[in-house]
Amino acid sequence: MTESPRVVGRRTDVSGPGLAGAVTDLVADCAPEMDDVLVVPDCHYAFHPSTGMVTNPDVVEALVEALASTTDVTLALPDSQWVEDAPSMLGYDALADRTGVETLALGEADTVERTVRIDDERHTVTVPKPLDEQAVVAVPTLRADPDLAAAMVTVAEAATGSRERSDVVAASAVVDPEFVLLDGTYTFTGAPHKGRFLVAGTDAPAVDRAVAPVAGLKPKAVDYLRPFGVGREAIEGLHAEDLAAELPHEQTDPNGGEQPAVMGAGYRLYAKMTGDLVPPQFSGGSDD
Amino acid sequence: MSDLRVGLLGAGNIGTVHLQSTRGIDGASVVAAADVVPDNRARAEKQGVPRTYEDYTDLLAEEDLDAAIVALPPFLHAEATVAAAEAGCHVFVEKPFARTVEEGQRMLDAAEANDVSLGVDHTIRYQPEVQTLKEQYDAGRIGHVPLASIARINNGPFAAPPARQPVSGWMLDPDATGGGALMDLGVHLFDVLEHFFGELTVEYAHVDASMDLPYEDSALVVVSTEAGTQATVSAGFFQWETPPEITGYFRLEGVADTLRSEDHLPKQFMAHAAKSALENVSKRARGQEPAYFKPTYYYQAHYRALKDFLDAVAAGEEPPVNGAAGLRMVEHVQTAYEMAEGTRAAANAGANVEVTDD
Repeated sequence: MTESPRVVGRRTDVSGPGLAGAVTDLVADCAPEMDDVLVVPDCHYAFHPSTGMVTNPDVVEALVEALASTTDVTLALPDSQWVEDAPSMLGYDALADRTGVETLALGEADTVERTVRIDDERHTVTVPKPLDEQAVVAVPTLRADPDLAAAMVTVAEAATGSRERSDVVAASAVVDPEFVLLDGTYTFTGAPHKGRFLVAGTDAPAVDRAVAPVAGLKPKAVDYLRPFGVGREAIEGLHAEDLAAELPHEQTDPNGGEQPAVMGAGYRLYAKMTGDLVPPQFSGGSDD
Repeated sequence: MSDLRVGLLGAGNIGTVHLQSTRGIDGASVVAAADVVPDNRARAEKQGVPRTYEDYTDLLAEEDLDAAIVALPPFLHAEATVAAAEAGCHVFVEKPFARTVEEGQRMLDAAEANDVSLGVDHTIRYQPEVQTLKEQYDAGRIGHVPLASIARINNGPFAAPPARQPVSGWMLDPDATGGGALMDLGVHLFDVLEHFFGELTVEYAHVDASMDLPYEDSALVVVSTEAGTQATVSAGFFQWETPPEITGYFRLEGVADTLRSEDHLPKQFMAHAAKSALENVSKRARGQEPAYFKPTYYYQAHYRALKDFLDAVAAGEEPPVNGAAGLRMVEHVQTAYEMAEGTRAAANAGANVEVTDD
C-alpha cells in the first residue's frame, strides 16, 4: 500500500519572529533534502498581500532564510499577464536586496515543451526550463476567487500563465514541486481574512486536497484535482473544519463588480425607449 | 444659431461618456472622433459619429470645429489641447488638466493666443449630493465652517478580484500620469474645496504607498481657505471599488451643524436606478426629455460639467470651470508633492517636522 504524502500545518503570526519560527519548523519537519532550489510565490497581480490574493512576501522571506542555511536558493518570479512588474510592486526586489537571494525572471528563461497524458488525452505545455530541471518550492496563498487557487494553480500560472484545467494539471505534473509551503497568513475566500496558518507538504495535489475544505470547497468540486485524486486529506496539527469556520465564505463576483452583458442589453433597451444616454459599461456590443 | 460642431479626441471609456453626454445637450453634436484603438473608433461610429480618425491631428486638420473634447491620457493633454486651440477650437479637457504647471501654462497661453476658452472635467462639484451641500452651505444653514474633510478613494489602475484585464503600461508610469492618487483624484477634491471656500493654500502634505508602486497610493493634505475653513484632503488608489458603490465623502463641520454628503446619496443604488428609469419612462410618455444618466447616478456629473462648458461656449461666456482653475488645481498638487518631499526628507533626517511660511 502506498503511503499517503504528509500534509502538516501550524498556526503562525503574520510577520516577525513568530512567522520565521513557524516557517523554520515546517521546513525542518517536512521539507526533503534539496539542492539548488527555485522558490515560486503567487505574484500573479499587484494585489496587496493583506488581501490573501497573493503570497505574503514575509512568508517568502522567512522561507528563503530557512532554506538558504542548507542549499542555494533562487527566487523565481513569473511575469504577470495582467500587470507589468507585479513582483517588483509586491516587494520582491526589496526582498532580494535584504536577503541577498538571487532572482530569476521566469519570463526571460529558456522554455521546454512537455506533453502530459490527461484522461487519455495528450496535452502539451511550454514551461520555463528551470522549472522543469530544478527543485521547485511552491509558495501559494490560499485564494478562492471564486475557483480554488493554491499550490497547483500557482505552479501553473508561473509555468504557463494559465489556470485552465488542462494547463494546471499538465504544469503541475511537469514541474512537480518538491515542497509546498502554503501561506495562510492572509487568505481570500470571497473576502480577505487574517488566517494565521501555514500548511506544508511534499505533494502539491495533496496540499490542494487538504486546503480545499478550508476554502469551503470539496476536493471533488475542484476540477483540476480529479486526475490526482479527490479524497479528503488531513492536515497534521490543524483541523480543516475549524479553520474553515473562521474564514469568510463569500461569493466572488467573477466580473469584479462590473456589470454583466445582460444588464447592458436591458439598459440599451431602456435608453432606446426613453432617450436616455448609455454609459460605456453598457454600450458593449451595441448596434445602436 | 447652428449646432456647435464638436470633435472628440479620444473615444475610450471617458470619451464615450462625453460622446453620449453630447447627445443629450441641445445645440451641440459630435461630428468626428479620433482614437488609435480601432474598437473605440468602431464604437463611436455605432453611436452615430459621422467620421472617425486614427490620429487626432488629422481630425483637427480635416474638420471645421467649434469645440474639442480632450479625453486622452494625461501625457497627451497638453499636446492635444494646444493643437486644438491652434485649430480655433474651444477645448474641454479631462482631468488632471496637465501633468505639470509648465504644461498647464502652455495650454493657457495657446488658448489666449487663439482667443478660445478652456474647460476642465472636474466632476465632483457636479455630483447631486455635493450640489445639495453647496446650496445648504450657501444658504448659511450651518453658519461658518471652521473644519471640513473630503476624500475620494478607489482602486486606481488596478481591479478588484479576480485579475481579469491587463493594466495599460502608461497608467503605472508617473511620467505619463503626472503622479498617483493625489494627481488623479486630489485635483477633483481641491476643486470642490475652492468651489465652496475660495482660494486654497496647501499647509501640509504627506504621501505614501502601501506597496512598491511608482507613485503614491495614499495622500493626506491639509489646506486653509479664503473663507477661513481648514480642510483635510484624502486621496487613495488602494481600495477595491465595485460600482455603483464608490468611496468618497465630503463633510462640513459648521458652527450650527454638520453637513455630510453621504446623507444625500441614494440609500440603495439599484432601487434608485429602477425608480429613476421608471421616472424617465413616464417623462417619455409625456413627451419630455429624460433626466440624463440619472439611473447611473455618477455619470450625471460628467453630463452637467460638459453641458456647462458647451452652454458657456455657445453664449460666448467664460466656462465656470476654466483652464485657469484646472491649472490652479495642478499647482496645488505640485505644491503638495514638494511639501510631502520636504516632509519625508525632514522625517528621514530625524527632524520633528514642522512646516512654516519660510
